[in-house]
Amino acid sequence: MLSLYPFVGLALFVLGLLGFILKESLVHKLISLNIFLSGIFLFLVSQSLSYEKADSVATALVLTGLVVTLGVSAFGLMLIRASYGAKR
Amino acid sequence: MLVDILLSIALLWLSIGIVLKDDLFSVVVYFIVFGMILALVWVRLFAFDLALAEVALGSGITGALLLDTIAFIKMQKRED
Amino acid sequence: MLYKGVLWCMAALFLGMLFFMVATMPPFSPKLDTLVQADLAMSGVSHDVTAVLLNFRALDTLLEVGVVLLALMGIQVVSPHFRYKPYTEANTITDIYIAILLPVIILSALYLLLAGSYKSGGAFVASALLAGGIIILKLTKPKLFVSLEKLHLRFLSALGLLFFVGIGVLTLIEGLFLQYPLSYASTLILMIETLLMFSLAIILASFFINAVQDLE
Repeated sequence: MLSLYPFVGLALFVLGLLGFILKESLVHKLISLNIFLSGIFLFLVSQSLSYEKADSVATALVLTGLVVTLGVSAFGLMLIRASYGAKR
Repeated sequence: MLVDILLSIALLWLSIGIVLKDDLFSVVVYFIVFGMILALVWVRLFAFDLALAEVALGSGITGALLLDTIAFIKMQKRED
Repeated sequence: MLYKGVLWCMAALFLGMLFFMVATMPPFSPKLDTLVQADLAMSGVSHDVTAVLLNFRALDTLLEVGVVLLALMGIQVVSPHFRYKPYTEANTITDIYIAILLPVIILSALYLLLAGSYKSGGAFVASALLAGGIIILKLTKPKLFVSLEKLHLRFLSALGLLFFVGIGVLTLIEGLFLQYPLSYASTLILMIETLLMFSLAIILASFFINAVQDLE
């Protein structure tokens, strides 16, 4: 049943994109961005699975992507704080 | 396997909840739980490095940052 | 309301198209993975993901550390105006908790770092664990790192990238950028990983700590 996961990844991608477009709150938009990045990672790793072993290049790519995602989230949250502080 | 189906349903349910809900605190809690479930999915996909990194980075540090930002926003709104 | 309904219908259509495309895709054949497995013996480590991260595609890792450092710089430019004082006081429960937990965290981070050369683990996971430990320490004892000088902290957080670039320049003497000589590969990877772990842990922890530090 491991062939189920690429489709779950696609569904996460579309749902995250919807949340990114629909939601008003900036924090909510950032969480949706994280969801659709997770969908892309899930698709990449589950699609490159062969003989009960994850592809090493895909795994390394996604590991890099996770760390960069954390950087994006942290910087984005700090900018959101700045916008809330400036509105005051 | 049944585990894969249950994990997929959990992931989809949590992400639909994130898209549909409006309360920020419950959305953040949903996101932290989403990270934990995604770590289990990485273990099912034989990518153990990713499972460790997802628990520590995606769910742990991002969750802490999000909770902290929500507290900051609430305090700013109270000061107004 | 109509706008939202149209958007949901379009999303469903898009999802259906993506499902169709993925279902009709040709099956995946692991070409790159076989290349990695064939050259694993000359990379200096026996775990394939670590070999890809720190030997075959080391330039990607170097640029990634650069991106994370750049994010930290951006945060430090923006953050001084938006800090607030956290609610903390001395407490027996949190003191005992951190005294028991922190040695375990440091020990498991070092284990993950050393295990990275032959099984799952490595510098990134270890640095994330260590950063979590530093964040818990800072939350329970807020006055701990206040006396630390800003300049030292900046040097420590840039140290991993500096060392990585220095190794790259040294490998230019013979061979290409970051093409380790065969006999030193294992030692060089372990040294780079150790320094990267400490400096990445400091960077990831300051993502959070910059946000809650009080100004006094």
